Amino acid sequence: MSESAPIQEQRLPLWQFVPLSDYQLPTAGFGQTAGRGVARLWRRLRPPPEETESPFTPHEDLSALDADCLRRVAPAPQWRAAADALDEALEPWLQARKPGVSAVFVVGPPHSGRQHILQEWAALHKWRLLKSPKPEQILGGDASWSKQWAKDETAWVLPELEHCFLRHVDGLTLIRQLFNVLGSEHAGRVVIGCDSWAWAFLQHVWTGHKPAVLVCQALDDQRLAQWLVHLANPRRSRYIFRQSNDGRFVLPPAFDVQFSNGKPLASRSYAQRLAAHSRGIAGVALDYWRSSLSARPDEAAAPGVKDDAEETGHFTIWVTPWDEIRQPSLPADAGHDHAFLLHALLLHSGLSADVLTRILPFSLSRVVQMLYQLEDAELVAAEDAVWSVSGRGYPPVHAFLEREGYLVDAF
Amino acid sequence: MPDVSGLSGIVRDLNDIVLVQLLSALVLAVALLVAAQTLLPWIASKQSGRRRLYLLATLPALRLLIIAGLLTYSIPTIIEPTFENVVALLGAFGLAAAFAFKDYISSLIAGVVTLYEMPYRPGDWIEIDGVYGEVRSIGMRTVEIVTPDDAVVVIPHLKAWDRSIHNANKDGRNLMCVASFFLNPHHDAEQIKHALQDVALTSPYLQIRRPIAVIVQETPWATSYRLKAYPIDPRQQFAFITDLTVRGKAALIAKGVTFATAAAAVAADA
Repeated sequence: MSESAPIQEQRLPLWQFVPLSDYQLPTAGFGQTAGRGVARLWRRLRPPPEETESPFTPHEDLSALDADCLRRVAPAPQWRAAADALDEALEPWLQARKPGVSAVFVVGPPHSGRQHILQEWAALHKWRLLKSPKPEQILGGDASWSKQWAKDETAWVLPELEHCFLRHVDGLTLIRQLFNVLGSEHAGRVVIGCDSWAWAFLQHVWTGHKPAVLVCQALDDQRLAQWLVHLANPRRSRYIFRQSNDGRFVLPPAFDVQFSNGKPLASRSYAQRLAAHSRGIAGVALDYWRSSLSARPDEAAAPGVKDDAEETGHFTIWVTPWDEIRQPSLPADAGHDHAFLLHALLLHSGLSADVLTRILPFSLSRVVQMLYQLEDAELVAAEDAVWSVSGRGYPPVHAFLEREGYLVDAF
Repeated sequence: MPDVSGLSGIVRDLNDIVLVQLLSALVLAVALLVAAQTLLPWIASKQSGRRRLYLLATLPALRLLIIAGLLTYSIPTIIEPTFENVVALLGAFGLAAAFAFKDYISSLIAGVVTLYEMPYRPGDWIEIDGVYGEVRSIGMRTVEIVTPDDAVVVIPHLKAWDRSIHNANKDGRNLMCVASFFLNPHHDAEQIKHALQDVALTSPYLQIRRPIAVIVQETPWATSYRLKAYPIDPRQQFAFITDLTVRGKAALIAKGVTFATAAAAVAADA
């Protein structure tokens, strides 16, 4: 992307829903794939970048943004635009006048916002939203849950199929009943959301004909940069993001910025590395992004920071260089026990400690011990007593499980 | 009367002084051996942990050193060290050594053949001569296997040369495990077969990319079910079989199935 062209002139479609076979992971830049040693050599050999008129002095007294500032600079995403993109992808299916069962699956990796997108879409079309059963209902094969979709309904949405089963001998009954209904002529029109890890496992449970699958295309570096800029500058906010060690733009500014000392250059690799490391998943990238933002201490709690070059009204947020970001990693003694637990959390998109003891061969004390150990390593987090793999923990956990030979998703 | 003229050309003239020297060396060597075999274990018993084990491990080497010292002193004292005598002695010792080390050399050659044919590699689970375990290392003469009871068994390559080698996971991570169940015949076999497949499918140890199979066989005293599946890591095979067996039993009991027993089989025969 050109350094000088404003972002608005090159707006790319952020959200695209494509068939599963068209899903593409963002690729890392040359430096990341060839290894850090080669990357250093490349930086030494390439032509030196143009120097600005005055040298940039790195700020050494930066502090992390407080919660209030984070809410302004990197707020929780709104999924309406993604729901609109899903609607556009489903339009041909909605218009088709095919009798009998008609189901579409929307599959997405963890932290991709899939559930929220489906909830928005269901609200858009006023379709009935089905709730997933509770673990006790799943293990008991509670028939009352299946009654809500066994009616002669025309349209319903089930956002979280991953919460409709447990990897337990008694935990597959309800979901098999659902699959049987989907294979019959009585289901009506249904849109079902499923986490990618659960989807990979359910391929071995569901032996019948599978309906169409849509996935939200991974965010590449350009679309990720565009999205992060849009999050920070939805209307009249004027935030710019510069790297804290050399002052380069991490993201292209959303507006024209004047600098009396010459405009800083753009860092082209940050967005690329963020997109590749987060596997193009919006929520994972946002977690890493939030953890790398900082400001000067006297302005960390203020609405923004005025650039010291000129009174232009824009605010500078300083971004930790990618190589200096502290990445979560597995504990040194992580073995198959930890792998079992992390795999179970991903397969089910979050579980409580009690339910984990039902599906894993560990005692409650052992499960709790491992959960706290992984929480200290920033790999898992709990919300309302439900533990799940954190956004920042997702890339190392994915790599760990793949390396150890566990079933992983296709994303 | 045997001709000892050749022998007298090899052996020195053993006068009284030489005999006393030899006897003194022998007595000293025996004293040193007894002292080492008494003192070293006593000193080791006062130590703990690794130090004790290291001290005990030095005893055979020390014994060998004392005996080698005695021989080094005695042989030149007894034997006239001319070139012809040394060649004659070495020839005799060589012939004796060749017979003694026949099997050792065979194992060395078998080790070289093993490196070429690679019937097993480190990480493979093999069974030789009734010993089953994971190959830990392959030496020139022997292969070290660690059994499930954490015992290290050292097997000469020669043993494997003319015997069958059972390799459970040659060159890979795929090692099939089998959990067996023996049930009284009066039940729905199709239902039990599906239940056991689910037992394997829901095991956290399962390598889900490999197939799951249930082999059902009718015998005079029971219906046998063999649940075959693969664990993610071959080292977890025993935990995997345990998991399948424990959860399989629970699932079958929940379905009201009864297990066949040897007593029941005998009663049925009667």
